[in-house]
Amino acid sequence: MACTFCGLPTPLPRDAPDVDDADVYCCLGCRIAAGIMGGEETAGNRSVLTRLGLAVFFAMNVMVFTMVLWSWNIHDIQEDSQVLAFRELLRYACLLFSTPVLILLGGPLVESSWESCRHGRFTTDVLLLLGVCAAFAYSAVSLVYAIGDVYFEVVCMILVAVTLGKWLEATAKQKATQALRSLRQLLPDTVRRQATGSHETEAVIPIDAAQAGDTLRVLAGERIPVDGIVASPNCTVDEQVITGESIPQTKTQGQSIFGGSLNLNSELYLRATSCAATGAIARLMQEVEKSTASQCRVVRSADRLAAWFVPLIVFAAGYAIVQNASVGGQQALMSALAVVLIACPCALGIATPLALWVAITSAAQRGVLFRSGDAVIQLARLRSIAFDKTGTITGGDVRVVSTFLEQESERSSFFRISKQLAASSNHVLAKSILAHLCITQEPSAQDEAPANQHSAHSQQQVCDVAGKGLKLSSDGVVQMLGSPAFAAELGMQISAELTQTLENNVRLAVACVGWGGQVRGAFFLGEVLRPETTDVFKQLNDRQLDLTILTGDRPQRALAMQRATGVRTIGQLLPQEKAEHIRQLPHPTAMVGDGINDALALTEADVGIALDCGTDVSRDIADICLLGNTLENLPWAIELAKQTQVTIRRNLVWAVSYNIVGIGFAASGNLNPIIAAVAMVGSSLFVLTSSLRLAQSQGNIVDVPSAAATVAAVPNPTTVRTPAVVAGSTE
Amino acid sequence: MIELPLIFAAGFLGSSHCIGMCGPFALLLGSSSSTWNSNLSRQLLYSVGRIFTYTMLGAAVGFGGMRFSAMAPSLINVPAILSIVAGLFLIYQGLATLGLVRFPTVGKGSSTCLAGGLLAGFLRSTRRSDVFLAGLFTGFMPCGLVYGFLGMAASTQSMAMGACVMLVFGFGTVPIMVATGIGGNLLSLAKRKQLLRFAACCLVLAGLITVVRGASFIGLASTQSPAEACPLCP
Repeated sequence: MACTFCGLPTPLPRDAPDVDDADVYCCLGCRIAAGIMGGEETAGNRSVLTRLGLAVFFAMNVMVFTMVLWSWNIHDIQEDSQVLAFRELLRYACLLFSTPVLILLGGPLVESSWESCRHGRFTTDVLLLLGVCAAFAYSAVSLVYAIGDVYFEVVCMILVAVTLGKWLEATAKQKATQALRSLRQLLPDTVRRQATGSHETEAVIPIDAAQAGDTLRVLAGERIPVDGIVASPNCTVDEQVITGESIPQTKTQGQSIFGGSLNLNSELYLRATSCAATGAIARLMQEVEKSTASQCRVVRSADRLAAWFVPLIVFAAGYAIVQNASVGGQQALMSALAVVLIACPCALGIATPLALWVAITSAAQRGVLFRSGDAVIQLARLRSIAFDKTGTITGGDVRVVSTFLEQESERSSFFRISKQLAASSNHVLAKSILAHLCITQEPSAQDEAPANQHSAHSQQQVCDVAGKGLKLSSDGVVQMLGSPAFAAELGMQISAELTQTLENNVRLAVACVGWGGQVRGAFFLGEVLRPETTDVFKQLNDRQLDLTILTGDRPQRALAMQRATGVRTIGQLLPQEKAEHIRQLPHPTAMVGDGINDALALTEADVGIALDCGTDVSRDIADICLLGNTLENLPWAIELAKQTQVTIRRNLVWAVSYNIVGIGFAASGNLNPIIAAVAMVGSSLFVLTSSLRLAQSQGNIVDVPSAAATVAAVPNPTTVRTPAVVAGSTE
Repeated sequence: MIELPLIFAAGFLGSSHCIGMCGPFALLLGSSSSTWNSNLSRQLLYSVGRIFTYTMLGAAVGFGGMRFSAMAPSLINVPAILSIVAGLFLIYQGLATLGLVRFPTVGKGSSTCLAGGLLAGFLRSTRRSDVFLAGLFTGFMPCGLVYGFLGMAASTQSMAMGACVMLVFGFGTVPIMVATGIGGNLLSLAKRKQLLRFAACCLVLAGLITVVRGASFIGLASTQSPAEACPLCP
């Protein structure tokens, strides 16, 4: 359950009873901050801010009175009856002025204590409340019965220091979680819905009211509100937030676009395919929220540590009372109060989650999605990385370079069968083959219209054998599209001519097409290394990481790849064999691959990293998703993970040692409660600034750009992606 | 002993410096009132809040000065040191306003400063209590001028006198602050800049005088009265 104000997870379990609609806060500070920021002034009801201000005013008065009292203590005024009377007056004035402080500032404290007690959790807020009330009561009693010193200024200053300090903490926490909220702000509040059957005219409606099927109008410079299909002629959009692709994309009529992308040049109409809550950007945000809320191992151990912290404080306070009772009852009370104030389980509690949160949201802004805190920590400890070849190291620019056909007469069948099989797979090679077939517009393609319905029906029976190819049994005839080894396995004959051609074209990838017991032809595809690959490998090598490339391709091609990249390449691997190899690498190990086709290997690795999962994040099983079609953020992500681990360690060391030293001082009676209150804030602030520094040091590429600047900066985009593959890529 | 009328004059002259930082606050305060009269009362209430804070701080530092000198051995002339420090603050503030010295910035733009949230909330409100509270918190704003006079208040080594010094200083700042709040836009930008520069020069001068005053009796033991050694006082 996430805190309403700052968004960090609260100790409450998700299914806590009767907290559905109420605001839930992770700490006292967030409760106060929410009251101040969101407080509405109703007639006769003073806002929280005013109450805080008045409390400070009264506290200031109490301080002045107290200082006067102290000055008399120093100078040993003669026991003049007038002076004594004035002294009494001042003390009563202290009581009078500190009562409003207690009432005004005690409110949130009481609320917070009540909330946590109701759920059976005994927190430091309760102890603080008890301590403050005890001090006040003691002072009041000792005043009325004239038996000792008064400590009203302690009560006032503690309350002011704690309130202001906690508010400061909450504001800082909110800043740390800002990045996620900035994603949310990308979507506009209202949309323009066009006149359709049931709606008469164009209406401006709130974004949540938009539904699938509505036609919406988006002006240039505005953000697309929901996922949809373009219903007007060409437009140019910037999809950086979803895919990480910074080059503007041209979308033609009928193409799909994501909610959250920026409409650059012209007014566009789109037919919504989702509502705002289920669009791509909403799903992305949900993923990030899920990962930040995930209960990873390190967080759990910190929680366990914090669980026995409160009893420890109680014990220390008890010890303080006993230890100092010999000096005097009031000293005992003051030192117990100091113990309660300086002990800061909050610093301990947020040390890890905050750093992870900052890391995850920074990474999300740069196009790297960590799906859990564990992923961050594992990545930091990495010792080896395995890469898949096709589609991971080699770019999306796989193209059919040439086609080999045994017999010219079989051309139309060849294309028909290839198209049918290729259309049912998401593999990079299949997509390229399909694209090639669509572009070349073979005359036989026109004959396919009647055949298409038939093939659509039998598409369900296409069998995708991982690592080998596609197989379809149609009317007893086995058709295949896949590797030569797969063809041999299915008992298909390969002609000598084809074998020779395969030998000649070692540098190219090949997909054989066969039916009726014989391979009838083959597609030769050119794979190009991604431009950033060499650089990425170099950076990873510099980190002493053990690199391997695993591929299901022929050994000759594996060797060629090894020579080209300088990285050990192992070929002819089936998915299980890939997983086996990963098992043997020095652990922790990562596997970088295509989220859909390398499922087994990705789960076997300690960290599974998937590329190009920008469109359907939730379907992936990888621990880390690299949004956008590039490897270049991988070294950065590893650096971020290492920095995060350093930050977490620093935070924890600080939180633990500060608490030990502080409680030690307080229990032995050497710590003034007021100083303790101020110091407690300092410790949380240290953890906060140290975590925030993590965000600043890594820099962010994507700042929510002002629409005007972006529109002005794009003169006339001419970069056009190769015609998008229709089937299977965007749904 | 520091003559109180002199403090008032110093406050008055120095407060033209206030137009720079606190002027916008006064203007914001006035923006939510409709008539000239209500604006005036808001500005006065705002100043009352500020003066309250100054007085309280003056009492506190007076107490501090008293404690400090009680703790320090009598060889260290605490009031003299405080005078020098106060003077240096004034000089620094004046030079910074003139642009001759840079303010050191804290970090990459402090992200957790509460002042904005606090003050803005109070300044925009229409309640009287909030106007007073706005003044109260404005009094806590970091300001070399205030620190300078606080130094002087500390050197009095008495709570009552310290409070008095700051009270008078506060009164000295009222005319210009109220005028700024009401008629802030009457002066042209160029004139305002000139005024600011003039005020900065006054500040530097006042600071120099204070430093000289402190330096002149720093050699004396703290038990002797500084009035005897001050070259400016009769």
